Amino acid sequence: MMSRMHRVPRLAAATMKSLVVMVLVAASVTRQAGAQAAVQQATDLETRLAQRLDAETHASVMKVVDSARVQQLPVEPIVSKALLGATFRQPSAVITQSVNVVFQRLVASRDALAPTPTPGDIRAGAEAIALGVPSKTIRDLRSTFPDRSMVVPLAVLGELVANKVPVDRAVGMVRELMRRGASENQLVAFSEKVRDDISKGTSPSEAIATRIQGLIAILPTAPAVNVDAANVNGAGFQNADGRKKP
Amino acid sequence: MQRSTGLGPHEESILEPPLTAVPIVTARSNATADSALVNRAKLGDIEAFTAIVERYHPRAVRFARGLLRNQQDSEDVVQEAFLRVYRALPRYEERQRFDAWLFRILGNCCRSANATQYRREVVDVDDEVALERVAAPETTDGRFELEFGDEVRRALAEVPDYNREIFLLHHIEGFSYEEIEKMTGVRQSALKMRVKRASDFLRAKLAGVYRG
Amino acid sequence: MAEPHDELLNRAINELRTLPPLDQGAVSRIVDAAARSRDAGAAEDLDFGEPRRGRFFRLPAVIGIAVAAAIVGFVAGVQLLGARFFDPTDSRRTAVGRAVESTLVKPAALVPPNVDAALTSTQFVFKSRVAHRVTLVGDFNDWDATATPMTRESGGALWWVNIPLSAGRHVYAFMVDDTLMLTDPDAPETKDPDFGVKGSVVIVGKP
Repeated sequence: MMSRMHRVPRLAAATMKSLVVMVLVAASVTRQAGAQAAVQQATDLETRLAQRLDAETHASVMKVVDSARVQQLPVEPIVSKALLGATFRQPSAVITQSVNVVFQRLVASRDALAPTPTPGDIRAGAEAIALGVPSKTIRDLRSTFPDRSMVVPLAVLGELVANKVPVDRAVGMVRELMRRGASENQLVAFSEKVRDDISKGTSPSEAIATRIQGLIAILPTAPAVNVDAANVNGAGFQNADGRKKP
Repeated sequence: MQRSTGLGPHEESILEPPLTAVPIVTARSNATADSALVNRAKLGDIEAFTAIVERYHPRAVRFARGLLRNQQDSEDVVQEAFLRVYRALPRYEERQRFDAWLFRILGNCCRSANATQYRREVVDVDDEVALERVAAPETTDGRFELEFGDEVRRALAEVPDYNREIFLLHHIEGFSYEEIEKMTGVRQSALKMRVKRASDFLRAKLAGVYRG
Repeated sequence: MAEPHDELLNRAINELRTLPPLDQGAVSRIVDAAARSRDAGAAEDLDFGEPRRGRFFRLPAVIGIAVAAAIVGFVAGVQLLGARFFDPTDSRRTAVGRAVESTLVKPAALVPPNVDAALTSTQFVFKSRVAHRVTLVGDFNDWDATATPMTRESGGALWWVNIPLSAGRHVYAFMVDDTLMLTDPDAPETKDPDFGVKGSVVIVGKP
């Protein structure tokens, strides 16, 4: 098992070097925030859309993009949705409708994550809303952690809900893990393990109840007493045989 | 990009690295960031410790792979070193640069591992099989890079441990002779001699392989 | 660095400076072990004696966020019919692929202040012996089937590509021979809420 670890990087040594350069370049490029860069991005965006959409669809998508810009919402989700539709040869009316829906989700996300969400937060919130997470839930999570990035927590929350974990339980888990100091990567790993369990036939409730025990055990702010499932949070957490703990 | 600096053959020269050089993570740029993280980690902040591990793990693995006789021990040895760092954090004082302290511990772990492991494994068998299977590479440059990289590592593995360690600390991890003297207790003049011997050995070995 | 004329040695040094990708699994194991040792109240002298070789922990690897090396061949290959009609809504699940994350260490000076923009190199892998062309499509490249071709090791069956991704959720799929859009059976599947088309999900953490 150990030898696998360095075999692949060795075989891809040349690519790794160019990738370092690429990531470093990407990192430095993203720091450009000048007006000139903004204008250039606007042109590129129009070009990207124009190359793949017919004139009519392009015009209606650009209207939504302009509205988003006016409201200082991130426009990439709108562009991405339109081009996804183009790739899958969706009718113009369907693409137009879907970008409008994306716009509404972005607005709802921004409001739920007030007062100062980052573009990444807003994008993540919009995706979570699309996956079935209520705006109110996002708002509550934000109020618990007003200063933390919501990008990964919302992505994880969205995935849990998409995997049929009840919303209250899913947000209870995420909140508790964040409160106990789980890193973003630990949150991601947690959601992947839960998803794997579910894909193998475990019920969503059982999967998260089990996996959260594993993560809680190693987080720094573990309580002095034995961690019991029911103590994790009061939001309707059940023990293994399905009874609600008082 | 190569220029004559008028220095003698055994003296250090300051060069612009070739364009394709992988940048060394310089200590200066990390000093402040390290300080904040280390202080938090000392107070028990596991996320700060995680960030420290993430920051240094690739370098630690790179160093361990270069220094260990048995490369397969790299992960274990690096883990042991970080655990020692963690347990010793309460006693770490900012007088010493954090990365120098880490690499001192790591170097000791590697040396101990080497002392108990006399089996010499330059290239692991699976790798050779894998290399033979690369029959028709996309570009000849790619193929040459692959071979050169493996030749370098084979040659490095033949450099005596004590020379190799200093060579890695200086040329790969970017520590100055002064810093290495503090880390190891070995005089700078002796350190330079070790690096020179390692360099001479590598140069000769590689030139022999790529003659003409 | 070595002498200016010392090209061979400089090349060797450059080669040796290549950093391996960040192994999140190993990092997690280290942090887990550290937390356990703290809980166990272990005290340690700052000594430099023999490492206790018998006590290396091997906690279960973090699934999903693993080093790029964890590519073990899967049995199933892609079955393609030469004249297959392009039907992107048919997510034929015979393909095998895996999204694996690898992270490169960036010097502190280059970490952008806007944390949203920080990128993580992510590897995507797809297995097929019979495909002639495989590209990666996703929300990071405008779903453009020409934008991100994947590379196959000569004579092998594994196609791969590394791309930098921002933190958060990303949806992707593999376009095979310009005719077939396939999801990744090793990744969570998602249905687009607006178009109903299927894709695969990867969540990228902090670099």
